[in-house]
Amino acid sequence: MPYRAMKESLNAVIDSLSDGILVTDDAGCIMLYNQKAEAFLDLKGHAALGQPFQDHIKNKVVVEMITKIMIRDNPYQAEEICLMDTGDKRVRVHVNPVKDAHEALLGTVTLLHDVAQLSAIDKIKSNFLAMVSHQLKSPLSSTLLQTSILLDGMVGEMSEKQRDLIQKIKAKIRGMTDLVNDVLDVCFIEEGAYVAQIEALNLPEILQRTVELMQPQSHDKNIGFQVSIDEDLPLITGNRSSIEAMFINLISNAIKYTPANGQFHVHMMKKAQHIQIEISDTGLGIEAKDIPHIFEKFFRERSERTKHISGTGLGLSIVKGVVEAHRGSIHVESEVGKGTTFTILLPLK
Amino acid sequence: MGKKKILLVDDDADFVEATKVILESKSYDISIAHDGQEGLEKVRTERPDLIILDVMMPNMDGYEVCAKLKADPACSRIPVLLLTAVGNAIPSSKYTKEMGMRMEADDYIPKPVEPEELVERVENLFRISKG
Repeated sequence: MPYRAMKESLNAVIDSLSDGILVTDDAGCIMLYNQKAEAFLDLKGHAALGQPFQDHIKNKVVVEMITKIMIRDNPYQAEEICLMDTGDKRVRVHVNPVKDAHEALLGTVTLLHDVAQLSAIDKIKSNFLAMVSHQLKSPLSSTLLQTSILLDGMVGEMSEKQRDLIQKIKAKIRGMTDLVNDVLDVCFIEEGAYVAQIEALNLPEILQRTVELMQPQSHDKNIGFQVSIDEDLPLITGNRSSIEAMFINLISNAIKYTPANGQFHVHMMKKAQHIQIEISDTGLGIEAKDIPHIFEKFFRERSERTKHISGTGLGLSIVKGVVEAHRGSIHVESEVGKGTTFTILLPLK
Repeated sequence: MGKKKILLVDDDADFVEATKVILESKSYDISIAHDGQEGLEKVRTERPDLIILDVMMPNMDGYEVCAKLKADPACSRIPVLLLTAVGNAIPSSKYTKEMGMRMEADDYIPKPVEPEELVERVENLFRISKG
């Protein structure tokens, strides 16, 4: 096919896209854009071609994103922005660096995706989840305080039998709170992950913060822990809150299922095109027959040795959901009486 | 030196009543507002030493009240403890707003809150603001 015909077909193709595309070179000049990009960014015909991007793109967020990609190497930047002043058009913007075979920066490519549909659903869902969260947690909040008031004798002394019953009620309230929290986590991860906020994440920093958060719990059981993180680990792209939830659930399990004075170890390293996170404990271990089921929702070992351990059975299904949403994998090895090791691989790109 | 005064702003009457009992047993003077508007008025008329503010309220929510308080030089120094019903699990953009709001407040706790934790945070805030 002669060059001119091919170029025209390609132009026809990119103009037919329902997403906007805009390409800049390494000097920041706009090399190419299609009709949708022109419409989204109000570019006025072909006037912006060959021009510096910051002179023609009025939207500050887009300008900032392109600038960031040009200055610093971010693997991926996705941000949802509202392009129209009327506020009814929502566009997700992705900016990626364009590199040659030697990793030199050739320019940037910006994708503009209309998420009006998605956002309306997202709004309804997040409002629904927020409402459900509020409606369920409010009575739990007041009843928890009310049982504490009774137990502390602030409204009169109680008999032993009365105290005993109230203690049981309080324990149930705490259990229900955990359940509500876990169910909300599962809902969010299952249905919302793909529209959630995605950014470049520093996994070591998130892990350190989680470990600090869990320190009181491990201290209570005198469980020692070691965290070893390889240096200069690259950033990965993902959702901060769900990665936090993943770490919290793994470490919480390690603490819960390890008897007092035991230990757990978290090791984070780069492995080929992945970041590997290994968490191993000297805990109860998992029976071979249960291993295929541990990631199922609500699955818990119900036996003499675990009956004193509280939990909703959703923790590992949350972990698996997060790992899969990040296109990673999770593997478990365990020996009863010795301990368990979870190995997670999260891809870099 | 008189008792410290705490203003509770929350539309959940049961929660407010129970919190009042608990904090009064720790020798704090408690004042109550059932919504954001009433809360702002009481801050101005009663000059509390600390404000406990619920995020989810009808009409004016906790974010707005907190922002207004921190923007007003007459009240901005009063420590604000935010009670959030929504935990960390929901990071949609509405709640990154909440994360931002957490920066404005002096402290925040998710509900349901253990009474010991609530008392500890209140005492902590008083300790910090003294210094």
